[in-house]
Amino acid sequence: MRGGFNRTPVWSVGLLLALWLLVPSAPHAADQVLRTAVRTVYVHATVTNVGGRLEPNLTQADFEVLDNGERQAITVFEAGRVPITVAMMFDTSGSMREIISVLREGARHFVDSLRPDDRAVIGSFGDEIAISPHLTGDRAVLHRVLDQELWPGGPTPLWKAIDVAMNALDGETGRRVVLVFTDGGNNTRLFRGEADDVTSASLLRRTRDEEFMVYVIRPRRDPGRRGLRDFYDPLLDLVRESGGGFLDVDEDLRDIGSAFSRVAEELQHQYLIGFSPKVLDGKVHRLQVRVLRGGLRARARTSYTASPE
Amino acid sequence: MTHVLPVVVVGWVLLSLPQGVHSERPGRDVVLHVTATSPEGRIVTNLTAADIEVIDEGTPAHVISVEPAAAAVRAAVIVDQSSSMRVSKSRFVQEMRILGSHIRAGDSLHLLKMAGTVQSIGSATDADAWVQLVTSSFGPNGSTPLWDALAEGLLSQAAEGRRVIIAFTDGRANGNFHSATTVMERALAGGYLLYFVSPPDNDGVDAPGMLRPGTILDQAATATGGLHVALTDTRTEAFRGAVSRIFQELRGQYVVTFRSEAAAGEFRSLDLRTSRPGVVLRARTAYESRIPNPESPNRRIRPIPGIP
Repeated sequence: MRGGFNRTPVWSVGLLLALWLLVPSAPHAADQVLRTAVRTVYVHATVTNVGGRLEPNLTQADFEVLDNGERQAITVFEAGRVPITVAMMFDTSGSMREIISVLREGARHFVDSLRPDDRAVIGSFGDEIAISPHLTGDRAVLHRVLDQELWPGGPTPLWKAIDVAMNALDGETGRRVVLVFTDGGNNTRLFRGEADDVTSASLLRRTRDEEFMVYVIRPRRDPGRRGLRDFYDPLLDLVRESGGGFLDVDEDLRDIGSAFSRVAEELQHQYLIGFSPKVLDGKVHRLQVRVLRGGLRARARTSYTASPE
Repeated sequence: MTHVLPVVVVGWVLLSLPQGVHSERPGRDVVLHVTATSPEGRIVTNLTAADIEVIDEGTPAHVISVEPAAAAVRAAVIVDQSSSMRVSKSRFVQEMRILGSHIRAGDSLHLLKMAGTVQSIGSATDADAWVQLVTSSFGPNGSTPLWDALAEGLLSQAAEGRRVIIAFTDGRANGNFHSATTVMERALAGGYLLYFVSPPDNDGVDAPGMLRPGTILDQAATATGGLHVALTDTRTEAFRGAVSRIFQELRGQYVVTFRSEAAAGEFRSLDLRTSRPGVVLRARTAYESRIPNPESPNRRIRPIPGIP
C-alpha cells in the first residue's frame, strides 16, 4: 500500500502531463458541448392566413422549427406583445420632393401607434444621411424630428442609410427593427471623405449575423423601369432574409398611413420562438418556421449563423 | 481663533448668495442691440436717445440710455461642412479668408464646425490665425445638426456684452439633439444676435407643404435682431457682400437700455420705433423678464413665429 502510494505521484504526474499535452487539440469538442448548452437562437415569426390577416392566437404546439431541415425542440415561446425598438429611415432624395409631406403624415401614424414601452429613432437619407440621437418613445420628440428634420434633395444612398440605421440600434437587446421607406434604388454620390463601403451583400451578412428585422415600404412603380431591377432584388433579399416585410403603396402615397399601421400591427403581434442548436459550427444554417395548422403561413428569418454568441 | 472661523464661514456664505437675495428690485434693466438702416439699406449711426422708442408688450418703456455698441466683434462662427453644402476645400478657404479680412484689433472669432457632429475648433484674433484655424477644420462631411451647433454657440459666448453667432449654412437641419424651439428660446432669453448666410437654394427645397430652410433662417434671425443673407448666386462677390454687411452692422449698432418692471419668468414682445423718417430699427423681438428660478412652473414659453 505504501509502495503503491509512493508510485502514485509519478503515475499521476505522467497522466497530468499527457492531459496538458492533449489540451491544444481538445477545445473544439469541449467548446461545442458548452456552446450548445448555452445558446438560444431567437426567431420572431409573423403568421397570416390566406387573406393576409394576422393570426394572433397560436400556441407553441402550432409551430415547427427546422434548422438545416432538422426539426428542433422549441425551448422558448412567447405570444404576447413584445416592445418595438425600431429605426425608421426615410428616403428624402430629390425624387421625394412632391410627396415628402405625405410621407411625413404617414410616419406620424406610425409614431402615434407606438405604445409607451416602444422606442423609435428617425433618420433620413438623400443629400445627407442623418439620424436623430433620440431613440425614444416620446411621441412629441419623434413628431418634432419628423417636422423639422426631413429635407428633400440629393441621391439615394440606400445601403449606407440602412447601415447607419443598424448602427443606431447597436447595443439594443431583443428584437431590432429597421423600417425603410424608399422610392428608388441605391444611388450613391460619394460624399467628401466618405468611403462607399456598404453593399447589399455586406448588409445581408450584417442582417443575419446581428439579427435585424428589415421592413420596407415603397411606392408601386413600373418594375421594368430602368435601374430598378438592380435595386429591388437585393432589397427583397434583405427583407426575406430578416423575416421582415415588404409593403407596396400607391405612387402618390395615398395609402401610406395604412402601410405604416400594418407594420406597427405586425410588430405588435409577432411570436417569439427560441431553440438551442445542436451544433455551433460557425456556418450559416437555413431556418424554417412552419405553422402546423392549415391555411396559415409563418414569415421569419430564413437563416442564422451558428456561432457562439 | 475659534470665534473667527464661524464669522468667515457666514461671510463667505453671504457673499456666495445670489445678489437678488439681498436686493429684490421691482424691475431690471434690459439691454438691446439695435441696428438702424436707412431706406436705401445703409447703416445709420447718428441716432440719439430722443430718436428711439421701445415698446414693451404694447406699452412704451422708459429708455435709460442709447449708446454706440463697442466696435469690437466677438462672435461664434458656425461653418456648415455637411454634405448638402457641396463645398470644395479651396472654395471654403477662399470664403473664410474673406471673413478673416474683417477681423480688427480687439475682435475674436470662435470657430465651430458642423458636419455630422459639432466640433469646437478654437478662437482667432487675427486674419492669419483665422485662416489657419479654418483650413485645419476642413474634413469629412456629414449631417447638419444646426440647432445643436447654435446651442454650442450660445454656450461659447461670454456672459456679458453683445453675444453674436454667425452661421454659414443651408439651414437643412437634421440629426439634432436640441429642438429649434428650445434653442431659439434660449437665444431670445439671452439676447443673442443670430446672423446667417445661406448659399443659393438647391434642389428639393420647394417641396409642397414644407417650410423652406431659408424661411426658418429668416425667422430665427429676425426674432433675435440679426440678419439672414440668402445668396442668390455662387459668385465670391456675393459672399463678400454678405460678410461685409454683417460686419458693418455689428460695428454700427446701438446699445439701448430700458427699464422693465414685468413679472418674473415672462416672455414679452418688443417693438422699436424711431422718429427718423424712413429709418428702420431692428432688435430682438422679445425678451424674458427677470428669472428667479428658470424651472418655475409659472414660466411662460413663447413660441417663435415660423419656427416649427
